[in-house]
Amino acid sequence: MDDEIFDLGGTPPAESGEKGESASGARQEEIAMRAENLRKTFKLSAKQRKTQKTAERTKTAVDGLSFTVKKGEIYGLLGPNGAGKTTTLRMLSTLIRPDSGDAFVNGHSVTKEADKVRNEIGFLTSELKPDEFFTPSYLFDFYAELHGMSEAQTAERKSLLFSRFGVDKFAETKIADLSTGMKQKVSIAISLVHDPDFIIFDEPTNGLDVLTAKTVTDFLLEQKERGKTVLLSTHIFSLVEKICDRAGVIIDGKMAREGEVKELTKEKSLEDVFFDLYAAVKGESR
Amino acid sequence: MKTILTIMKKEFARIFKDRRLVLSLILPGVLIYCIYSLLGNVIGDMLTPGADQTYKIAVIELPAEIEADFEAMPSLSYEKIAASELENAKQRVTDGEIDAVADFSAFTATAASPEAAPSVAIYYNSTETNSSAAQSLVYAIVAARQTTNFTIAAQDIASDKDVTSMMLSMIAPMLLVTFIYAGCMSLVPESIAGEKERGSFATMLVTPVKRSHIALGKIISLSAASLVSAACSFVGIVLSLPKMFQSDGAGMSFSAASYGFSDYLLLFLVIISTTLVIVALMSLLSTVAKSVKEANSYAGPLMIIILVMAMGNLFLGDKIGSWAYFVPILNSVKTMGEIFSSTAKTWQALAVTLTNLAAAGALSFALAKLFDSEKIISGS
Repeated sequence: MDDEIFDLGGTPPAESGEKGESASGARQEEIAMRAENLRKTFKLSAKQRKTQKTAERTKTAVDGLSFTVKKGEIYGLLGPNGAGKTTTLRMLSTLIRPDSGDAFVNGHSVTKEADKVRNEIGFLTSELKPDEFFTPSYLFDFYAELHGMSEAQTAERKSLLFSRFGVDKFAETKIADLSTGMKQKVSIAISLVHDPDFIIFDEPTNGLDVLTAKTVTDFLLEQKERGKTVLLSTHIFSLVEKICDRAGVIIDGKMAREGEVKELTKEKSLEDVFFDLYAAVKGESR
Repeated sequence: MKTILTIMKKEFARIFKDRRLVLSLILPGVLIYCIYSLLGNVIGDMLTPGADQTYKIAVIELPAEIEADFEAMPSLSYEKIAASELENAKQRVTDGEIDAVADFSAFTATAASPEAAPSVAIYYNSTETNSSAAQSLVYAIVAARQTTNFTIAAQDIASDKDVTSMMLSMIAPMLLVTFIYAGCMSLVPESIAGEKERGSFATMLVTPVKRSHIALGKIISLSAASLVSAACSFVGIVLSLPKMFQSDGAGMSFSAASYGFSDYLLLFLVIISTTLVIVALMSLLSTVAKSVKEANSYAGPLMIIILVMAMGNLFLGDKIGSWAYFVPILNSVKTMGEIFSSTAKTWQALAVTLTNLAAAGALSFALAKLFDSEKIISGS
């Protein structure tokens, strides 16, 4: 694995694989993901231009976004709806390609080595759903096979994840017959079938009841304990305050502020920090 | 009443503000007009003898007045033969050397007798278009000279097996292609557009599996499933043919044993390759479509095109040139027709199979490219 080194408070190295050390000689940390000047635009239809009252033919969803996620941390991308969080995660998971810029997951370029990146990540978003015709057990085996896992590995991993999420009782029930929360747990189990080092979750607790949401957040903390890296997007401030080590606030596709959650919330709550930033970027008073 | 109108307005808005839906409403009509017009013109050209079309017939004891009419007909070339050569001439018709034989011996001999029915016998092969056309021409010339007490007997010398084979060669390819299409239609949109619609397709795209492997896996499995459907239909046809042709008594006979192992093998290869092409084509449409409903609406025009190709074989048969062997699906119906009429050449059937496999391969490649297109997959 091409690990990268990055000093805790410094600028990310310019090239993949480059190793750096802070001027103060601070502890070096490995980088799991580095995004460099990611930019993504979408074409606007005539109808969209009319409703958005703009003559522009394209909308910039992500505008020169750069940030890094260190190994073993939970990083939260925070932002309002339409800020570009999901688009960023979709680029990182290779579902869509950036117009310009690049990102490196464990040293692999999302634009040039998409296959390798897909092997390294577990991606969960509301757009990706398991085929409801099948049972959780069948789909787990299917995706394990796509990831090239052996039968023994699959059985062990399935037992672990299914019992952790309480899916084992419904392993042979059609997914269509499961509750919303159980479906989400099945989706999480499937996205992590290959025990990826880098977990990308888009709004993982959206639409879940408090019990199921707690199961998910506890699981993410466990993954961190196991040395896994987690990148999640959310607009829930409390979730970021509770489980994230670092966070980045995205507004209009740009990184408005980034840092350790402890630092960001030193003087104000994350919610207040966010609204101040939003007002500053948008030029609006609170 | 107002609520009914409100609902109607919303439904019309849903239909007519969706350009794809509007296109799917209009396209079949436009396609039918264009393709049927083209087909009509081609068939018309085929059925109308061209300036250089000449029918060769053999005549026995041709009366002078009718000979004058034959002379005036530039599309007719005739040779006089003796009555003893009749059987030989019939064989020449069967072999395709000449188009028909007209026997005027009874006409000449009994013309003066009002009691005996004087007659003209025209022997032709109904399985050959030119032979049938020659028979019609001679019949028309003689009939124009017809007086009382005089009959014209057109006798078809095609064997029962010839007629059965001809009918089978015209009907079975169209039925088979239609059944294959129907089998694909019930599977492909659901498997691709359905997965896209439900979000399970993108889940597969974030695994390290190559897009080309996903495309091939889909096409091969869907083809196999469609083949099961087509095979069931085919067995149904084979079993019903004896009843269809009334082989128990009404003249024509059919038996599945009329065809040998190599015929069935060639047919099987052509059917498999055709299924792959149709599945690949429908997979492309299903990938472009955003929903199963949209995929089904795209499948309509494709169905018309495939049916027209099948009908082209039905109407035009062997008039279609060799170029047709390189047009997927059209080559299939043509070759299947030839297999059923026992005129297929092995190398032609194999070439058609390879052409179809190449086409299916190219379409699979295009499908893999589409799977990589974020605009297609995520609709962004």
